[in-house]
Amino acid sequence: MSSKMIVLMSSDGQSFEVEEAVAIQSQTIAHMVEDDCVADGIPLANVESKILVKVIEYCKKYHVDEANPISEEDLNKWDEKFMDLEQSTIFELILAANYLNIKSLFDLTCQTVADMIKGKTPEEIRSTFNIENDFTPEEEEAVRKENQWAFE
Amino acid sequence: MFTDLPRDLETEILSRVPATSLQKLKPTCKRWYTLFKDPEFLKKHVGRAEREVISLMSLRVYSLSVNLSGIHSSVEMTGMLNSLKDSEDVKISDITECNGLLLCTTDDSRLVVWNPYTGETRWIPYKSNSPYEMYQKFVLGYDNTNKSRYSYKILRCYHGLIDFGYEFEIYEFNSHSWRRFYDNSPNCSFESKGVTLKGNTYWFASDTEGRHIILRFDFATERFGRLSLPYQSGGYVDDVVETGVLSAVREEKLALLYERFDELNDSSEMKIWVTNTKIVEAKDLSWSDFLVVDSSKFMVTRMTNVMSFLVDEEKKMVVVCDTDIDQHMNRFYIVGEDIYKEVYKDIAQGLFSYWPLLISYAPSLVQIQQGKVIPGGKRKR
Repeated sequence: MSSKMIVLMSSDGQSFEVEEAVAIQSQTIAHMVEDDCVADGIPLANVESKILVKVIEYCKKYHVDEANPISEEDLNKWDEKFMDLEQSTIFELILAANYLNIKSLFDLTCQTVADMIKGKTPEEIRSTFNIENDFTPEEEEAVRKENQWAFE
Repeated sequence: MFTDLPRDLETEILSRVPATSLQKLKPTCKRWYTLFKDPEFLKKHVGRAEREVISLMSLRVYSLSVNLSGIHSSVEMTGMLNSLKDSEDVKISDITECNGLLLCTTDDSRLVVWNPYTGETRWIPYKSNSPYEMYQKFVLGYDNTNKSRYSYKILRCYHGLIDFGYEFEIYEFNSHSWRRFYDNSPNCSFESKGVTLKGNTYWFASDTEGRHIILRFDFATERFGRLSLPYQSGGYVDDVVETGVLSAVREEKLALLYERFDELNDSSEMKIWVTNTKIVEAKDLSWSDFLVVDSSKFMVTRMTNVMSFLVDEEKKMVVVCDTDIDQHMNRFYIVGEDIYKEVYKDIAQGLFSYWPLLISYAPSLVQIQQGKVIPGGKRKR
């Protein structure tokens, strides 16, 4: 069985050899393969090696076929472990998944952050994500009271 | 780090956060406050929004998290409704739902329409013409013949003077006024709460002989009609009590939960049917068996007074709430082919006329003031 390999090059100059079938989960890479401009490797100017490693790990896991049969339940469990990362890494992954156009990774990374946001108070959000509060205390109070009814 | 993300990616993340969380996060910063009101963002968000479940118990509204996973099924209260503006308690005795809008009756008989997703409320004034107007019911629906704009209406059914049947009034959101209309055709008693689907409201009712029917009110023509049940109803039988409750399955199908108690044999049965296809206004209903609950299989004392239930078609299960009159308890059960589990129990406070209710709705952007719908994106179900 032939497995055509292609080379991905990170922004910090590292090269990674990956099966073409695995790499084309990225729509961006798939288009480049179609346009036949991958002979010298694909430079990914927006993705540094630390992140590219994780992207490749994800794509390999999600390349499901007879050689790599895996159930949805197992994939979900794997996702959880995979996403046990530092906040900054998660955001870098979102940017990479967006640039590389890998829908399932994009959904997973965005949902992970959304889940981090769910259930937190504004104060907790500000401190977790380093967001500045640009409301005055009076403005903030007025905003809180805007909805007459709310679940607490 | 978050602030370094391009705006569109920030929107992608926030559009995946549940509505109740978003409301609370409006005061986080000015950018988020503005974003959460932006129509483009809201369209994206409501398109991803999951259905929500709320419960009305003992005059309080709770948000629920229902987890149907066989033996580990659970129902959890995730919040209680409070009025933030005034410090007065929000005590609600009845709720009816339509398109993500909730029509609530307070315990002092005031009427309010509430969109839990946008937080908007609108109080609806009405007049009671005589002290005999007891047992009034309100339901919310809309004229579904106008495809570009839903015209929301409220139907008020009440007993006038004791010997005469029901009388009716309609409130139109557009005209902000009530008008009476006359219809003798129902000639039956509304046994269950009305359930609104595709703008029209359906009740389980019984006629003067005790035969059961499904009654529909069409808000476009403002007429009642009778529809078929999945079984032949024979009318009153001594020592047998039959009850029926309706529920909306997503916004497409109707479900009927029927219970039959034979007082002589002390036996009971529960059956649930779901309509076959999406509700079409003019035609009659056709039903399919959904679940038959064999109470002897589960060795439980009979369930009584089921006033409300929700169906999960995929998992072939239902969540039911009832009241144990003897013990003054509200209870939730999860019932399936092989499971019958009580998942919640609490003391029922207040009068028994306030049965517990379970309501499922899909968050929507319907603005109450004009009753207009902002065309939304595709809904995830």
